[in-house]
Amino acid sequence: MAKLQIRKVGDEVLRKVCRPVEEITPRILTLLDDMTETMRAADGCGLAAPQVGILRRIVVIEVEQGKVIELINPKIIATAGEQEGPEGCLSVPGRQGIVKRPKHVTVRATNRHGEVFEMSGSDLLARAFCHELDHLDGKLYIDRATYMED
Amino acid sequence: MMRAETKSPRALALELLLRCEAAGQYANLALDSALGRERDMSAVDRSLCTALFYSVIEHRITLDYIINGRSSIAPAAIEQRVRMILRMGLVQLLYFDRIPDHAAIHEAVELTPKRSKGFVNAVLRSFCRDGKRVDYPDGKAEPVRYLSVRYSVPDPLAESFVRGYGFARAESIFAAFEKVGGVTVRVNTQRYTREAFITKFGGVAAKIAPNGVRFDDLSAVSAALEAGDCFVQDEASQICVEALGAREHERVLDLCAAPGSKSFGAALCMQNTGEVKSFDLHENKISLIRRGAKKLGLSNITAAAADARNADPEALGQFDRVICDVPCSGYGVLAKKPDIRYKDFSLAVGLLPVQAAILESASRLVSVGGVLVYSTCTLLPDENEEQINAFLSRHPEFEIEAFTVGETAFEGMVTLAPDTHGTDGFFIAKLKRITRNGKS
Repeated sequence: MAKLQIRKVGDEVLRKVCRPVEEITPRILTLLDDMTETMRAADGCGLAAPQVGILRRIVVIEVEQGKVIELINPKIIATAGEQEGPEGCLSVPGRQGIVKRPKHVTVRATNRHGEVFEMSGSDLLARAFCHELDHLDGKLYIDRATYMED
Repeated sequence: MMRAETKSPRALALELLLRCEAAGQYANLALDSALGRERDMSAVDRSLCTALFYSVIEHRITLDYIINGRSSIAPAAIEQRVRMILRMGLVQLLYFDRIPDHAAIHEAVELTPKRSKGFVNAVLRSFCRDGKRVDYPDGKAEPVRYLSVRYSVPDPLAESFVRGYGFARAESIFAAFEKVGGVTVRVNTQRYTREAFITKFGGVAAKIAPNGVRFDDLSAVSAALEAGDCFVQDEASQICVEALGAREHERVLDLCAAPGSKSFGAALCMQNTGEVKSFDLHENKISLIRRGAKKLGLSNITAAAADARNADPEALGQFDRVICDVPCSGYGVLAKKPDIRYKDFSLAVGLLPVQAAILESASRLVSVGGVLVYSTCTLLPDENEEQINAFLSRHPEFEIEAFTVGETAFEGMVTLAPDTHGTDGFFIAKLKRITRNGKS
């Protein structure tokens, strides 16, 4: 495993739309492992592939300690409710801002074994789904924030 | 994604204060929405944040006077964020007995950007070293300036109180605003007598209003409020409803009704009989009245949006009792809404014709022998006695009527104030229509 370099806001790679993963190769599996390691080392609770310079639709999330969620080609298929709260990003160090997100989110994605699955999350997990999936389309939370703190 | 950092109560209060000042947001709304987002914040931290937030707003002029007097740099050159941190530090040193000085100073320096830490530390420490002495302006030489700095009210407001009440009384009122605390509810007398309510929920009987109960805070009655066993209404406003004196089977009109507490009080006086019509200009507030009435189990209230300045020609002379609690400068509720004092003073002048127009149109809806109550939550005579005197000179068909609330007798025009009655500042005039058109 290897820790990857996290790209920071201003880096054009964060603004690109990512390509779907067509085949789950060993390289993809290694990338998933490296992303988790990178996320943990940076004390984050979510990381998307473009944040480490890879323009593929891949996300890792760890909202609950030890429960890493790996999402390949994820898609939001349902949302409900609304929450407004502070959010931060590993690519925007030292800042946070208030962002409106749905309260409940259901995603459909492929896991590392190539199986399609669906998963629902509320509160912080719902927020993480939205935040990370935005990265895959070149969007950052600072574009959506109602206001930035500091 | 990063987890957002949980904010310390002081950091949150600072951000909120800066935002309110920059965007001119309503203080209570800004605070409520921010605390709503900080779900992880403990109850103790929430109440510290709330107290800091409101205290800085309440004492802003006093705090700035101290800062400007002690700053080594030109007052205008102090960065907004640094000034706000100094205000928060000072307010703790002056008014928060349970926070030790060293803690208040340490926390203030912590919040300060590096380049200004020394400055904040110096100002706060020198203030403590001098025994927290504040050299107020001389009250005899500069009465308005003294009141402004001592009680943190803008000059025009201090001046108008001095003009209306004299210096000594003005000071007594401003001082009382700082001491008024607690909250008063009106018992749902369809369900409880006041005695039974106090036995069940605690609290202390209000001094004047017969159905009022005072509490230190609302925690003891949150369930009762939710169930509609009572509703929040300052004692002054309850006295106003008592002055109206609605009786069973009457027709009552409440203009400027939202959020509805006066309508509710009248409906309860009428034992849920007769009819209370509640009008408010703002459509979005009508649902507030309907919800409140439903919760209290009152079916004699109908609420609708209407401009109180335009009397419905169909309804002329149709109501036994009409109450209009007109829009006003609000300078009677400084204790509950500390930010109201900084409102542009000239706005009050713009309200005078609106108040007169509402009073005029309300008067036409009162039946012969019926009662008209005019009220405000301000202490400025222009909006109170002056309005009534001008109205009476135009309308000889109305006369002032004395009234009694519980055991307290009032002349028909009464100004309630925090220093004399322990209530919000409030004005009530009870008028009676004696003839149709002024010729008896």
